[in-house]
Amino acid sequence: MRNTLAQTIYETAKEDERIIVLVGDVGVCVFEKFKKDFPERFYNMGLSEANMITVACGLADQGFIPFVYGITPHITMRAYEQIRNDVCYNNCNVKIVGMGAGLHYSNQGFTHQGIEDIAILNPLPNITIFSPCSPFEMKQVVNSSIKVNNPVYIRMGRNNGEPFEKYYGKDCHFEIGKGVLIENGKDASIIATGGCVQDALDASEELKKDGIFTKVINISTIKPFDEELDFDTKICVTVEEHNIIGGLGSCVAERYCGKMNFRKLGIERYKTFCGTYQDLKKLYGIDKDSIIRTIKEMYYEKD
Amino acid sequence: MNLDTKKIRNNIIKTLKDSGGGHYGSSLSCVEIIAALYSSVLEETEGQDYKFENWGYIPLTKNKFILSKAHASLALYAVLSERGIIDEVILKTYGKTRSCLGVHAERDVVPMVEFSCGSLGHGLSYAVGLALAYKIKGKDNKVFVLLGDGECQEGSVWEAIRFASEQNLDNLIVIIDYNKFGISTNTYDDRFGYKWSSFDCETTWVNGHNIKEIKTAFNIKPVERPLVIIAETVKGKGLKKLEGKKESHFFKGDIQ
Repeated sequence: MRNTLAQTIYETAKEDERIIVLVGDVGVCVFEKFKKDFPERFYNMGLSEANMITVACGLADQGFIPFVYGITPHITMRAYEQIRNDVCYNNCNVKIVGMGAGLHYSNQGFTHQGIEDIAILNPLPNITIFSPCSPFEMKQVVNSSIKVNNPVYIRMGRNNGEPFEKYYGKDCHFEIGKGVLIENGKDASIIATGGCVQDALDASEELKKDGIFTKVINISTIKPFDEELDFDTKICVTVEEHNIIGGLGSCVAERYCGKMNFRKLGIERYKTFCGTYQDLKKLYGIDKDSIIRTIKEMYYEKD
Repeated sequence: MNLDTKKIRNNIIKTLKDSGGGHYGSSLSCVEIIAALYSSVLEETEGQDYKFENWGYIPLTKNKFILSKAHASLALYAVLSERGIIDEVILKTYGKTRSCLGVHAERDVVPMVEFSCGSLGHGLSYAVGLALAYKIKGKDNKVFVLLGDGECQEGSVWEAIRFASEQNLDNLIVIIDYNKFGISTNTYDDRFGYKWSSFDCETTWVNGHNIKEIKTAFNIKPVERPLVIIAETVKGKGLKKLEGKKESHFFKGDIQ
């Protein structure tokens, strides 16, 4: 997904002189082409997230559109006060990209896992928060980020892969603040975001064998959150690569939980565990098997 | 243009007393610095006057000034009042309910405030961003930023200046109000100047209460690096009892 990000930014920068890229000594190879062709618009700021974010504010106020790129927990947390006061409160047109959001960095451990970013950025004023799940969505998200004249945070997690596009088919569409129904069913709803969308789709497919038909809704805009999600099922499960507190599940619960039997799947009780991306998702109960198990439990529960 | 610093100082003391007290020390130590800025390098305007809601048409200065030590905003308001931009009637509302003049100046609410600061250690990075933008555009505008000496304890200040000197931002002028006190710390440091020059800045010292000396320093042309002006000041200058004392930082009650 970061290649799509870099490519889309590069293509736009060819026509739009306002685009600038700032990196915190990560992702330099991702933006190699940009750096080569637009050297006066690419800055490796080094390992200094706080400075990088506020410098971006100064650049934005002089008419540039800076994309600030760093590893999710470092850029959103070390420089949280800068995002809060300088970007959001001063409403500067800065686009922050958190790479490796969720459990993408897997065996690199807790310090590299971005699993509280939604919770901390959601309350902030003026900010739009995107959570694309595929290269197609990433391209739409980058274009939308440039169109809006306010702070943006892009939560860039694991790529769900090009095969995912088959679910969109001809009706591929993206709209800021709108959830996308990518599978229909009457028995339960699975609302997912980012790296968990593929798990939700896989779970949905397998549940059919047991005669349980689920809706799958992909949420690619966390803020502004879709206030008109249409799911008339009695059961709903949300799933995300994020702490169970304050993430997608909380967004849905705040708005819709009165209507149905509701359960959240997210990261609870952090564990020190070295493993692959899939290992960690299984450990935290946010993989396909956990979704299936939860839906079945709720479905077969006696009223 | 010459601004009456005695009048500005008296206005600060009077206004703070009326509003129940506040940051006497920090506001009074930087009167000459801000007055020097607004009567020299911030006089030239650029582009069309900006229509500011409730304030009318306000000129945009060619050079920019960031008050990073924003708890001294009253000093800025008092100077702008002396410049005729903020009416004395409005100045009197400082810190009171529904006043537009808060303790930490807000942009979009008060004219000539470039950025809303308050949490220390942010303003320098913003100034660096502006200076970098001017360089990219090939413009000769300058950016002035005023820090407190206590503020220089924040790590983000050093992140900013490291990057600024790496980028050869000779259009960036950092002024430090060296009044030798934080809130309750003593910030006196005889290596203070070396700290800045070791980050590859052109560093100079001035008497922070001598406007002529400050204005002369503004004209220094450093070669491919930022200029740092360390202004030696007295915290709470102008107060009878608390001049030069750390208690002047924040005070409620009968100050004189």
